[in-house]
Amino acid sequence: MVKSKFARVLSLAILSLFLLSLYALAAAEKNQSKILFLHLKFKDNTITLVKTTIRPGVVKPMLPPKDSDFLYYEVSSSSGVLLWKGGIKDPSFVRYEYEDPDQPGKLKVKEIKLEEAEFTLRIPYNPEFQLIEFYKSVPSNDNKKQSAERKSLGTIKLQPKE
Amino acid sequence: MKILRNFVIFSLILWVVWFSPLVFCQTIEQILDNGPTNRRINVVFLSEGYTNAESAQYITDANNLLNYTFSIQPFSEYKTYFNAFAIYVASVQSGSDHPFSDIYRNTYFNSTYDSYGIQRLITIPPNDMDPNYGHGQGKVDALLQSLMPEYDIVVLIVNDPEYGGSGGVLAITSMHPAAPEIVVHELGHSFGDLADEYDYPGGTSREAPNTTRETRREFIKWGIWILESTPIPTPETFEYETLVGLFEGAAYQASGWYRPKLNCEMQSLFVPFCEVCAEQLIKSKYVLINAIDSCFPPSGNIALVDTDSVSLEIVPLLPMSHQLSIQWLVNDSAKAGADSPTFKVYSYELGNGTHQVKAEVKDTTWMVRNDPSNLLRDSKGWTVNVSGLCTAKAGDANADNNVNLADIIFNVNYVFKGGPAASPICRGDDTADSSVNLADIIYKVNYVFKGGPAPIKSGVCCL
Repeated sequence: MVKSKFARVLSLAILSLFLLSLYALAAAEKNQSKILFLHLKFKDNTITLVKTTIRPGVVKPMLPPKDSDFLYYEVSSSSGVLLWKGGIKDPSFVRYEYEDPDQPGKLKVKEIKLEEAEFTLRIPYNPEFQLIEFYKSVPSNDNKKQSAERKSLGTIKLQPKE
Repeated sequence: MKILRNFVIFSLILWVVWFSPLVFCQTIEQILDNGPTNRRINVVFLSEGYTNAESAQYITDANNLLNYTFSIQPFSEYKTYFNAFAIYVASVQSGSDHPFSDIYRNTYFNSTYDSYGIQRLITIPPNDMDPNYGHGQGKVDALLQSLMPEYDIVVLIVNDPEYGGSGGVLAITSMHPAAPEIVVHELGHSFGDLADEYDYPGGTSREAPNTTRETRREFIKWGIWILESTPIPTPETFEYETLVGLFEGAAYQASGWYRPKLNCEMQSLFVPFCEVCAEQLIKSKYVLINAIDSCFPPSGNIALVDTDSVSLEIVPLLPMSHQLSIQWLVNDSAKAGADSPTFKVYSYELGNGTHQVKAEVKDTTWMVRNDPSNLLRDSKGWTVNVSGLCTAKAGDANADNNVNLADIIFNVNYVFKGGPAASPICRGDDTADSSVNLADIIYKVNYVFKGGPAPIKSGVCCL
């Protein structure tokens, strides 16, 4: 009888501790900065979403993209307010460097153009995120214009859930 | 009793599995710890071709690679700005594929030599052997998401003694002693946005911190490093081998594009980073993390009442062999000698009102000469509101700590003869109506000679 009571108390204690840990974990996560991972596919000049994942953490600032082979993106809210923007190297253009076997120390490059590229984009999570638009910056066809034009690669509706 | 035992075991398993879902299939070990992951640059190593029995060897290899990387300037000087982690995932077999030799290994990321027909080029899928992202890079991305979402630099270590590796989205190195050099070179790209300086037909050239088409001395972006006596363009002769100049051949072009030094890690492996590339790598660190690591109290508003004081403290980052300079400023004026991490603010030194107190930290390393964006500078500010501070006695116009005939004469001189004003003005404002006039003189005469009420306290004149 005593053993049975002890067993019940111990079981309850373990269960309570487990639930308490879950609650504490949930509460801690609520106040944490988060990162939104977007698993994307780039094919036929169109980017599509494969999967989203949210993880705790902070995305550090990056140097502004300067290369011509960059893809750019803008993330906006449902009311069209721009919330985040950035750029990534074109994932369909892969560049491998390796040492030249004939000239020790000298480097060579192998460039590959993938027809279909999957990649992961990391941005700071914001629950207001609604749309992400990808585009390329291409030289303007209009001779009068000096600036580059945006060539859209697709707009994706985001519904990241924690 | 059996039920109880089973329940306890089940609970414990549930507990472990819930909180360490990856403990049984993959591990992460911190091999360099210099601070929180959100305030340090996080290098992540991944194991490829290490079997279960080789997990300890992997940690040793990751440490060796880390030590090699941090033996090279400028990474060595700034090692304290980095964390490093070794993620271990077991492969069924040791090594990597060598298709030219018909050797195939069952490894976690399905790495292979001989990629795209190049014997020493190691890649993981998608590649010419296996186009499936999920078999290689997809696994890398998934591991990073789950184990180290705040990664900054990722290096795959392939447990194979044959020379090989590659730089790209992911730096890959084999266990050949010379292979880690490609990782160092790759850091120049991924970390410093540096361009390649070697000649490669068909490559896309670009203006980068270490490449340019500019030949006018005054417009060369690294001009501050070039001696007046160095000719522009600079001949590739022994005389200029150790100097920064403008050497033709860079950004995949043999001519028309220029680099800062005859040789550099961005030109050839096994050569140190030149001054210009090292400078850029240092500046890049300060894009990712701040020179002031933390401060206390948190930046914001501080209220001081009467004679309160507050100690402000900053914690700057600490490179290996030099310290960052510190300067405290009050209302944009540098305080002489205030160059330590703590600064005490006294209300009586500031006076009543709102004041800005700021700590400025700067990395004054000799390795950076050109920092127009002030990346090497960081600051934290506090707004200090002082109130209720009494600095003067009401009615004591001449500031001698007494209220007497001399103060009456001081007020008369001011009101009728253009004499100096009391400082602060409230010393002469006996009636506390914010102006000094005949009424204040009469008020003070009444007090001094006729036993009338004392001058009214106002503002800082409340002693």
